[in-house]
Amino acid sequence: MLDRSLWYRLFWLFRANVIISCLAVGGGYVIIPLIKKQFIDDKRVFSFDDLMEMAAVAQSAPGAIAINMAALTGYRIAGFIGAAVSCVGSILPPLIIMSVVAICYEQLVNNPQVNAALKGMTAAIAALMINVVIDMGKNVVRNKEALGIFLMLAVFAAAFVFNVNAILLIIVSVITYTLFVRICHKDGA
Amino acid sequence: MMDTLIDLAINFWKIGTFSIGGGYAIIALIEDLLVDQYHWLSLKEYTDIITISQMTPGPLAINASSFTGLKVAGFLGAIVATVSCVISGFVISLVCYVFFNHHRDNNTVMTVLRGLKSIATGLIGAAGSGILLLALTGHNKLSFTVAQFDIWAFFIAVGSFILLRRFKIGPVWIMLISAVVGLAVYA
Repeated sequence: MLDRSLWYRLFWLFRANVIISCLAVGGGYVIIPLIKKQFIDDKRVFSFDDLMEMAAVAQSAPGAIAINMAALTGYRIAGFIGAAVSCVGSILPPLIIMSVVAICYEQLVNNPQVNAALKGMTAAIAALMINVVIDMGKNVVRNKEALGIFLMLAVFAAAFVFNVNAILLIIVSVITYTLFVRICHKDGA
Repeated sequence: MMDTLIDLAINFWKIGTFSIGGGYAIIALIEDLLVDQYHWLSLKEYTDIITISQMTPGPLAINASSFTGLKVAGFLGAIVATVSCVISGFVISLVCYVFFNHHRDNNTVMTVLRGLKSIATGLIGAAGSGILLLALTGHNKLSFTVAQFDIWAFFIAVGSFILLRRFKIGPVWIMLISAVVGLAVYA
């Protein structure tokens, strides 16, 4: 746990977010396993269930998931100032890297070594994500709720096989799920 | 200069605000605003940014903001574009999260949150599978030929997975090791 002074927590948040952001090659959900490592495995500042909740909120709000996640994890650790510090930490690496890329754009796009290293990293990222999805899936299955499991599989199929737009998918499935649950269990289960 | 910065701020605010679902939902909007309307990027630069974003840290929207901002108005432009792009998501996700936390006793809120967790799992699974497919075949279509199958990428993915689950090696080391393996086998 992090129970020292606010300054210590802010500094830790900044550092953790810079590290996460540097490793989140490709953006998007790639940061979920990285956040799990820093915040849950190393420091135990919140539970895996909390992380899933934050991921759910971050992807439902507009904007980049990685930045929204930084805001939410920062808020959990140190309130609104924590959210701001986290965001700055997670924006800095891509801001600096892309500025450098913009300046020496031609050389980079055509460099075989850069491309080779990045190709290796893509395969590793896939493994990282599948690893965390297994944990998240277990968490959903543990609730022993058929509709929740079905929803997870249906969303996976719709997004992966049929390329259904994510916004549409979130809106339609959350409304369907909520209505179903409310009708089936009048007490709200 | 001031006019350019204001234009950057307004347009990247739009991109940040209307890209619900993150990532690739915003590609069409970026093309429409930056390439067709303002001519800040050429079509080639725009497709290159998408490719570079796959390989560099950070979300696509942030990478596009930093690149375009820098090109149009220098480092100050990069900062203005990037901050404008993230501000809506920052505010809205915090408001939603605080709202959920204050209404935990409400059944409907809890049901919505539980549904969202299942949806998040499905979406992250789909994104991970897409990246795996990209690593293995070089594209993200479900059908591919044997010739396209990259056996090295397969070994890197399986190896990383075993290191992660069996030996609990951290993501930082996994990424560094695979970059080195990538350099050894592809370069």
